[in-house]
Amino acid sequence: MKKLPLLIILTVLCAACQKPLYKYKSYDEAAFKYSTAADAKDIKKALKGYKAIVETDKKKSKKQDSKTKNRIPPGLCADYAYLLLMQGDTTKALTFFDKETHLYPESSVYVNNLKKQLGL
Amino acid sequence: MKKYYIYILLAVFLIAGCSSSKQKLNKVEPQMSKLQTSKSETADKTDQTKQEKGLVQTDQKQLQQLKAQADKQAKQKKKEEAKKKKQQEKESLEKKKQQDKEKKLKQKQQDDLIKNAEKEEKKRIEEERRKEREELLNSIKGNKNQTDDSDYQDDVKKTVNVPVDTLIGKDSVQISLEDLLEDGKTDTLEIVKYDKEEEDDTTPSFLKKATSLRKKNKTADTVKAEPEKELTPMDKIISMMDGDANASSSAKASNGKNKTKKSNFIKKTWNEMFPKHVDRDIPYANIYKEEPKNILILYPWNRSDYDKASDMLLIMASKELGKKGYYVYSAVSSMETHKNDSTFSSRYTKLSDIKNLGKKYGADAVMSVTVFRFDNPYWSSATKAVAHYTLISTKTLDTLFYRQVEFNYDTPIPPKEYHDKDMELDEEQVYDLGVMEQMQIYAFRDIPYGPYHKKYKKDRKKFSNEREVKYKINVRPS
Repeated sequence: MKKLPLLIILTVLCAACQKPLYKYKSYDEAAFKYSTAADAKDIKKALKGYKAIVETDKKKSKKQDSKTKNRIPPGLCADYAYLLLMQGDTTKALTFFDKETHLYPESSVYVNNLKKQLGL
Repeated sequence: MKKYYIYILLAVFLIAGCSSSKQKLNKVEPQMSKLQTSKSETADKTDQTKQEKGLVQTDQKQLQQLKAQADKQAKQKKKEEAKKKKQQEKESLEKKKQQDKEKKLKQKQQDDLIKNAEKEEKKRIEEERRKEREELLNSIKGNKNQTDDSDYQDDVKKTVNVPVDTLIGKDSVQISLEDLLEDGKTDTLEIVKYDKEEEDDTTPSFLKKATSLRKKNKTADTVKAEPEKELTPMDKIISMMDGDANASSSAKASNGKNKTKKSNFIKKTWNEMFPKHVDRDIPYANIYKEEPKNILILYPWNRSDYDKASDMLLIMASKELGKKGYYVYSAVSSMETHKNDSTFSSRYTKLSDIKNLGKKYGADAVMSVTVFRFDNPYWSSATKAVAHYTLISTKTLDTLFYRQVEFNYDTPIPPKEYHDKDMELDEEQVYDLGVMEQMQIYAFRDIPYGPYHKKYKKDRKKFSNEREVKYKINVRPS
């Protein structure tokens, strides 16, 4: 009976230590800002939100593999590349399209169709 | 002596009366004398006074008479003027009425003409259609006697038999007049069944089986129940005898019941403690069977008063399904495709279009969402949302997931923890985003995990028990 509270505390701590699968941060607000964008300033603000999620430190990016823990959520690289195309940066957009296919090979069909539509 | 006094008094009164009359005349005299020049006073005055008296009296009378006449004339004039005015008003009113009547009559005539013209046009159109139908039927039946030569004059369609060689393998055929008039090469038309129903059939496969079975068992629905036959007295006796026989058999079995009770109790407890593995119906069995990885969320159909509910729901649903381990296509690209092509939405897509979407995007499943309500009424502090979700596979067109959500958020706790102030969004928009996020969490709480999650294929339970999950949640502070 004396050990029960210790066991309960340990179980609660272990449950709280579970890390989430992805870190979305301000993805929803950035996407909503893009949907309601009226000027180029709003699109830049949305880009900042995506940049904080997608462009992580280079040291961490090396550890990320398609098989191991994927911290970049699905679809965000493609969104970021689409926004870069609207700004005019095609080279950087192509890199992020390729990154999307590298992390999620199921998206190859969708990304290739997007490139054809956009003329890349 | 007294008589003399009386006579004296009478004389005095007479003298006083005469003197008073003289005084009156003397009053008039000075007025008249002012106007007239005084030449002779004595005799002329008396004559003048007499004349003047008469003139004055006549003048006064004349004046009075003239005044009376003038008054009468004025009154008469007023009356006549009043009469004239009334007559004029009456005449004007009558004129207006006549003019209004005439206008109404004209309008009625015009309306009647328009109605008659419309009726005639409808009749003409109906007659033309009837003739066309008759001609088509006659052409199908091959009745040549119904053709009329008078139709050539009116340029109406003519029933003519068409050669069959020109129709095979084609949807449309161009025919010239020379081909129509040639004889000896024509054949009768034959109607062929067109399989358009199968192409436009949007029913899923699991319902097709039910309809086919229902058609097979159609006789059961059409057959009427036979009326119960009236039992004869001999039949009643026989039935009673059979009942006794059954009762006797049951009585024999009751003697061995006590033994069967013990054995059943043991079996039940054994099966409860050590149940057998049986493949029973599992929730979301189709998802475990097909194992979808990619999910394409169509642009939601917004049927609420809030314009931005569809965008919010699309963003949050993609976020929540990504947390569950599925690959969800980007929300921004789907919004852009909806702007360019409005048919890319859950409103206009059919089951026949889902296969094409799967080929185009490489998706294993397609989700369609409809938002019926998302508002915050002024009389309450709660935000209410209602939405329906359906997940359909692109291979078999089966429903993998279906849910109806009625979400009610009524707490002072903010629904959104993390807020980026650099985005410069309104507080109401941030609150609505948080409520939508909470709604998706409860909507997809029970869905199986995807391939990118740790618990992929581990949340499947061996022995599924019936359970009821209530998704109508009223979150209130405790």
